[in-house]
Amino acid sequence: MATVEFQAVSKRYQPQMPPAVINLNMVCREGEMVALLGPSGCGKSSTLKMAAGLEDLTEGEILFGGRPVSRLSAGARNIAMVFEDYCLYPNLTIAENIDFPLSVRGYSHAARKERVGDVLAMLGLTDMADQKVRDLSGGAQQRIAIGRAVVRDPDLILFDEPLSHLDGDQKIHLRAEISRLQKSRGVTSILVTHDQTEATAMADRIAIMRAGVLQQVDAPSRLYERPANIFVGNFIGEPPMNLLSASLEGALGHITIPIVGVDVVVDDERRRMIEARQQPDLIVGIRPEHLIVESVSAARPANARITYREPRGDADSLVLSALNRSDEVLVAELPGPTAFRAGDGVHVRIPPEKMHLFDKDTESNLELDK
Amino acid sequence: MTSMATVSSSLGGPSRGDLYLSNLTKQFGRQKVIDDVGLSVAMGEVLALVGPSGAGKTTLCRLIAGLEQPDSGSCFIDGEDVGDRSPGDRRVALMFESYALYPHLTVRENVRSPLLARGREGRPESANGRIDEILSMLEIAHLADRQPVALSGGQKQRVALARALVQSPKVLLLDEPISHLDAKLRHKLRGEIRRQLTNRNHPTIWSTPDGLEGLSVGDRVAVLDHGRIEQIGTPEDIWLRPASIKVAKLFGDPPMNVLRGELNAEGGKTFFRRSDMSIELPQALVANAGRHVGKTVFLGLRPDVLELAASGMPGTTPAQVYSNESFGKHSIVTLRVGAGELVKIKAKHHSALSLGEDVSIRCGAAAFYLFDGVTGLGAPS
Repeated sequence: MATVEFQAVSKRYQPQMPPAVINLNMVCREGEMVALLGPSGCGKSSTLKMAAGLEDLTEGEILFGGRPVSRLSAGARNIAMVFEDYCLYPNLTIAENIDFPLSVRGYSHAARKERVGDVLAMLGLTDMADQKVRDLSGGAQQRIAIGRAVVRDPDLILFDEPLSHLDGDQKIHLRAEISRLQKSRGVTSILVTHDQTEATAMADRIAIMRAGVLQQVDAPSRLYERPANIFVGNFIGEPPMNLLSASLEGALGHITIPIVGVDVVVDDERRRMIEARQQPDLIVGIRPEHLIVESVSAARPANARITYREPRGDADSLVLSALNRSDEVLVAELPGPTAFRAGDGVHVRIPPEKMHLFDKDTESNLELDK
Repeated sequence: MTSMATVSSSLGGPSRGDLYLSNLTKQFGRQKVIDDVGLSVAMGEVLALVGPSGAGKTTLCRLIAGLEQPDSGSCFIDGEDVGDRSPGDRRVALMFESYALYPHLTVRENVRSPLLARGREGRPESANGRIDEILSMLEIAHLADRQPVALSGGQKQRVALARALVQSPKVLLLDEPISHLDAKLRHKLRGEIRRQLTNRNHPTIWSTPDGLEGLSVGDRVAVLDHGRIEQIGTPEDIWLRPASIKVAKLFGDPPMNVLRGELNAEGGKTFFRRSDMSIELPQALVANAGRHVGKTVFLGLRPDVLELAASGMPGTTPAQVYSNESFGKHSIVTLRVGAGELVKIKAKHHSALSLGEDVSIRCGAAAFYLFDGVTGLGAPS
């Protein structure tokens, strides 16, 4: 177990190509799981490979527990890896697979027996210890691969897309299991995934990367509640955040959002903050689950129409087109099943306290320091 | 949008424009892969075919396309029995789960290929606009001149999908059309493809192992398991009135919790009991529970309706926190109840919970489902 620190790490594969990782500064605290998340080409895999010692750093340093490791080979780093395709020895039993890293490192017989026994008990596999792994399901194999990773208490475990090969229910089951095992052993871990659900479910903090640059590293709830910029706001959450052009008008804190013709009044603090910028135009972000969609009544005239309704079991996703601007769409998500149908006129409101305010040009969150 | 289609297709008998299957059975060796399947899909309707892998989804598609011959039963397309017609004469567009792209052709040529082969679609060059439109909807327009070898799995899948969507067939069969795309793209394309399919003048079957995807894209959903249809209904039917435990467990993230126990009646109240727990059932459920009293039942508890309460609250079930996965808009809390059974709750507000902490589960009336202890079938409601 150790703190893992990236200090001004950059990676450039070819001089004429843009760098894969640019000036990455990040600390993974002891016992924490940090997920690297981003679209393909964002630099997450390069970062993982540099931590593992499978790629050299172009610039910067990586420290395990304060000790620089960038000149150490992968084998000398005291790390363990869990891959998407398990990489178990099919002819060995469950216990033999878990024991393997101990036996090749020359642990004593007694220590091996004790550690393997502990891990088997933790995985609930004590009774199956002597089964060959080749007949097991993907989910069961991946649990054994995790057992093999934790058995010698490495400084760091690197999880590389550990759930990619599994079916839906196995995925749901195993992501809870990985999170539980990692927390109960308290091993510092880095998870690389392209799936935000996995990252959110398992990681203590998520590092969002884009084109080699770290955008934000924060707890999942913080990323959701206070995204650093439009990219993060849009990337975290499904369906993605609605982004609407808006402007502050008058001295009373009215923010006019032309798309649904809504006028939202913000509190004094936010009004002063926007006024101080001398730039009335901004982008309002509102998550689909925070839009209020109501049936039309005399007091609540229609300002949008449902163009498409997607039932999702316990929620309905609604695609809405604004009546005043039919080319603009909003996506709302309501607890479901609802009685709304495609073609219905509805009244849409935006609760001011759920709005995210972004700079139109830099795309940064205006309230990041709050 | 679909009520007409639903009504007409629930009436018996093949009719023009429809796909109609009756008593279809197919055996490979001694295993029945398709077991007495009957269903109909109307013109313009999308039927989502949901089942775990190995349920028979692909075989059913291949039977409709004429690539396999049924042992018994019949298949009507556009009102005609197609039993003795070759695949080429059925005008079925099948998107293969394995893509089946021509390796020597470019993306555009692959997508155009079915139009050339049939000669029914007018001049192939007049289809260029449609090809471009579908390629850009699927976000592969920039790959039009590449060959399949230069594509990722997800990109190949979209080429195969484009090749199916560009046709004007009598039946469109999409076999797991978006299963290999990453989550973000899958969410985005699901709705766009679905909207592309409305107002088409042919029936569509969209097969998927993902229950929620089935609810999202289907006008109706057919649940297939071990070659048998477990239930056919609207997405609401399937979600609110699952016909069996098998159906209930295929839908939802996380899926319904199912506990085995016994029903006891006591002083006008009905309880679900096992050696390690006792839960009082809501009145709404008791009316239909009568015949199960004294018998083994399965109790289904929907994760989105269960709530966490402080430990020891009256009328709640004690539990310990096993794991806590925090998502932005909700958390999934896994709890250990009784002697070790795991129950998942989808909590709207995330709270700080430590592993092993004692809590309670409050079950609102809407959370409960009863299934027969022997057959696993749902109690009528």
